[in-house]
Amino acid sequence: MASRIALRQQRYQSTATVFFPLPALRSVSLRLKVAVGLLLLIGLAAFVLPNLTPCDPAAINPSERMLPPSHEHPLGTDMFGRDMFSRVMYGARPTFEVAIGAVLIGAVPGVALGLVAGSKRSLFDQIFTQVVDAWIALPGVLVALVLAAAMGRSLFVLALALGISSIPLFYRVIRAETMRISSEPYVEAATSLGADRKAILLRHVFPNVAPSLLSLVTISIGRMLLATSALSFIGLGAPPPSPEWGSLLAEGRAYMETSWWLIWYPGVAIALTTFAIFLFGNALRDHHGCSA
Amino acid sequence: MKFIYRRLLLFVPTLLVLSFIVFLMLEVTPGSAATAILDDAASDEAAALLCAQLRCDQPLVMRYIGYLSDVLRGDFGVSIRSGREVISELLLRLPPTLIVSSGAIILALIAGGLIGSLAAVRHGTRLDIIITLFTSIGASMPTFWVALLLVSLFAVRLRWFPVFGMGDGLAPYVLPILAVSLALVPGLTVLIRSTVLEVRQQAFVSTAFGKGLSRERVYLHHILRVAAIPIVTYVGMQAVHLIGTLVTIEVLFSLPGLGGLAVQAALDRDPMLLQGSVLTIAAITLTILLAVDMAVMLLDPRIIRTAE
Amino acid sequence: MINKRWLLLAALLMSLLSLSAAAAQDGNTVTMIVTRDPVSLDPQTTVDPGAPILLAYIYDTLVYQTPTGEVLPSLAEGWTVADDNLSITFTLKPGIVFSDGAPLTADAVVYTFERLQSVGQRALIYSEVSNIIGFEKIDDRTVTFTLGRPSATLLSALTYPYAGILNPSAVEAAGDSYGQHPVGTGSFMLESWVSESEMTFVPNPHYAGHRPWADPSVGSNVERLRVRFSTDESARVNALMADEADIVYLASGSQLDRIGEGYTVLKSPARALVYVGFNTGRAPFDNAEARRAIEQAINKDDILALAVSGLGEVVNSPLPPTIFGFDETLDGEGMGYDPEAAQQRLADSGVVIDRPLTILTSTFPTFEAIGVILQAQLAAQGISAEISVLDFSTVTEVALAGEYDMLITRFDWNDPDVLWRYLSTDNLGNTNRYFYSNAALDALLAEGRQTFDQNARMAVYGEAQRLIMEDTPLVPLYMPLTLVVVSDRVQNVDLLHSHVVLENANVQP
Repeated sequence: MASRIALRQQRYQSTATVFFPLPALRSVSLRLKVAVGLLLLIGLAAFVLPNLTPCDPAAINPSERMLPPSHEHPLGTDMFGRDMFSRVMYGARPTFEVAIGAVLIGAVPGVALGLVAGSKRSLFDQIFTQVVDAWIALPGVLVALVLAAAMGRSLFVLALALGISSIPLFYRVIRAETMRISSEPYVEAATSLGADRKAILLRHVFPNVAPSLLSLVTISIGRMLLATSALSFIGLGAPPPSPEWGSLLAEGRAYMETSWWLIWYPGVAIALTTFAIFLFGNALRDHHGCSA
Repeated sequence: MKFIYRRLLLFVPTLLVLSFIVFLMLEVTPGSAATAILDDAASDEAAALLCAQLRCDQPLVMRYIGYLSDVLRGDFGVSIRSGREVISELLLRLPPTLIVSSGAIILALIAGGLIGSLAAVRHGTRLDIIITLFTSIGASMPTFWVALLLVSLFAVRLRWFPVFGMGDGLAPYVLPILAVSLALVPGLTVLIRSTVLEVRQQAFVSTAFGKGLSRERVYLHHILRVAAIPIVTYVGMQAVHLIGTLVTIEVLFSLPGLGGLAVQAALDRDPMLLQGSVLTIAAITLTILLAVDMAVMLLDPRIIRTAE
Repeated sequence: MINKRWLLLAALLMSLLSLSAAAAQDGNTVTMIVTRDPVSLDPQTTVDPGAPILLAYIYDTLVYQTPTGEVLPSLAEGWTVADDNLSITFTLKPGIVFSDGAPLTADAVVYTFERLQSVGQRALIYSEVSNIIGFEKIDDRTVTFTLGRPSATLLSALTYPYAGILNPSAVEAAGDSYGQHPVGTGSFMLESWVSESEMTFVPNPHYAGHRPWADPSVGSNVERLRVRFSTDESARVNALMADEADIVYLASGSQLDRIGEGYTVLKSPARALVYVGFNTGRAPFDNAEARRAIEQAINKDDILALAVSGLGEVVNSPLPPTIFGFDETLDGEGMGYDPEAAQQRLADSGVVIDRPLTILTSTFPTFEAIGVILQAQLAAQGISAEISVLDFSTVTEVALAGEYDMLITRFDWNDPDVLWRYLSTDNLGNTNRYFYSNAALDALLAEGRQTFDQNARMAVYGEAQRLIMEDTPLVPLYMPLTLVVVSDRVQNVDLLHSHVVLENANVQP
């Protein structure tokens, strides 16, 4: 039974991370360089530019509604006359906050539980694996739907919903990895020598799990970016006037046939950032030599 | 075979756990659900009536047990908004969801299979690079955003397909299926490409080529058959992702499916309906996962052997 | 063999693609898109807020309300009110027949309201109708209602489609499924209904041209009305643009820029007011001067222009022009937008706003946008505010719990009694979510409910509005419009409140 699960989960792990190789950039270091460069550029735009150009992304201007991109407004203006350039720039921060927050909320309990469950066959392992088998069938959208109804719309609720529904993913991957590493001779040797279980987990197992965890975390951040924008789109996003990218898309949607810039630029921002993150995660995985 | 039975049996407790999670989730929603749908002018009697239906006065565990025993008898309660049995609402909304999800999986398999095999066959050429680049970009784009652009282009401007996700024949389903399949195509393409490349190296393929079989025949009968295992596994793993996308796409296309129903039920604060639809969607996801497990076991008997 | 398979696959794909959107505009069919499937067309039990739009095709009411708020006869030829105001007698028009061929009689009227009293607890007009304590059939065309207490608001309640007259035999025959098999005296009748997909209506062969707002000599060539559903406004307009629909409802102005040649936009002022209510139960807005300062800080013209694309009319009095009791001179006495005076007033009041205010609103279209503009206008005054957008029922709960400072919402009613509903002490903890209690106002609102002389009633509500404007528990923003876009394929379409009138429509096949 256990080996069946291990087999399934090994496959799962590989399929979860496999889907982003870029053979066009065959060299791992080149991929890493491109990804880091892109991310630096995005980080610069997100965290430095807003401080240099003090234009308020929430400032409304009745006389400048729906202006197409121009010299003055490089990305045009929206239905309230707000400058889209500053909204997209300022939007990066809340967008990242949700994505990273969601991964933290999902990864911390997922990893902890996965380590414990994977290191020793126990009742806890059996019960929790059962719960996770059920849990995994709950799409984040539905969790967000229920949570937003209960707690109102906020960036925190978004992160919470996405995080909660990603716990099973981290749990499964880390549990499988832990099981694999626990059966390595040196860990078994340590166990038979009577080493403390906690110490084994922290000193031997976790460091070996870390590389695959790192690429999983990176790729999850990218997926959270996409998921956040989808949730914002169905009306579960950050409350106004947050310029979170998904909210920008949701707001601009009604005007897309007449003002294309309202929906193009936030979408491009999401796609470009996700691309950079995926590329980074992919290169990171290959860098650590755990190629699928 | 014993193993398959055990897997089927395990499905039941999993469903139970799932129903309890869903039940708990709705429990955290504050306030009395009974006040939710009633309008400003509604009377107290109406509220009391609803409360009785929802077992407002009982403790949590009793409510869950009550709900569960009703569900087991096929009684999912009554929708506050429509006054109809939730079960009939669910059955009404099931077909569009099934059509779109199965259509999307099939389309994604065909498209991913074709493109992925093409990339593998032309491994290392410019075509391969272009395909891989496009799939990478495709995987980075929000699905609903692409769907919006598809609607704008094919429905509003070119008028090839109806704007509305309903109506006559299959035409209204084409765009939603296309949109949902986009959530799977990039991953499948990459997976199929690498699997085909891997399998091609193996001895039995060279033997097949050596026997003088045509290239297409080798690909279809030898390579794709072996590649089917990771592909099926991948589709199963992406089931949750697929269902999540489906919800968004149903809202976007005004499709009368289960996802749209769940969203609407949440907005209406229609507790029995929300519970029923979330449970059904999750059960569908679980069933897909189960089916995938079964399929993998049938395709690869080694798994059952290791298990037993 | 392989080649054959590829061909087959290609053929399959091609055939899928060729199933293109052949718009279903066959013959004299008119296609309309409303937001949602109303689930039931039983006027007494339906809970869908969009149902009245469709109910009005099937049912007639005894009386109807003109766009200016006047109550006129519809199915009733006329009515008389007893001197003690405790009974009212309706006389029915002769020769009216239900769509199933049964004649309209006084029995049907009695049956309708008795049924409403027993099953209509969820109907908006239930409390008004439960005040009727006796029904007496005088003869086949005359019926008398006896009231528990005098009510000046009964007649306007009876104009809502919820008070549509039912055919007793049809209701009894259909039983529980009556909501799916409605029968009325209106100009259309239900032909088919595929749940959540589409409904079709066809002209009622027995319709006698009795609807007072239509011209019976003109008639209509509409042979079928197809109704489809979408909660998404852009999707509705997309369908209109793709010729998949002829008539669509709009909820905001966001799509107006797309509507050009070939379409007509119909606007009808709604019997509604969009306003900002204050939480008068806690600081800072327990202070009337602070509330007045905010009113001066709000630029209503900007809100109207930006949030709803100018689709509405700025209102300064608590009653909009579409509700009886509206007084133009009173409306002119509003505070007006004056940010400097607002700043001064707030300083003079001694109120210090030292925390971010909470602007509460629901997911209703345009409310979120109003919140954004309001927030920006407050920010210009140095007042910071957070917007909390919740679904309607949660908004109600949160507001009742007092966890907000300003509430963006609207009321929809056809009688000045709406002020009693939202601002009287009687309704505290119920529909009065502003923690507002004012004895002088209570007295006036109670008097208005029992004043029958129209001039006297006007005066009472004038006084009440003046009081409200002085004390400012709410800031009226604007009167919204009901917006409908009609393709030029359909001519002579009219809008009565939110109902699209098709009795004189002419469609090009």
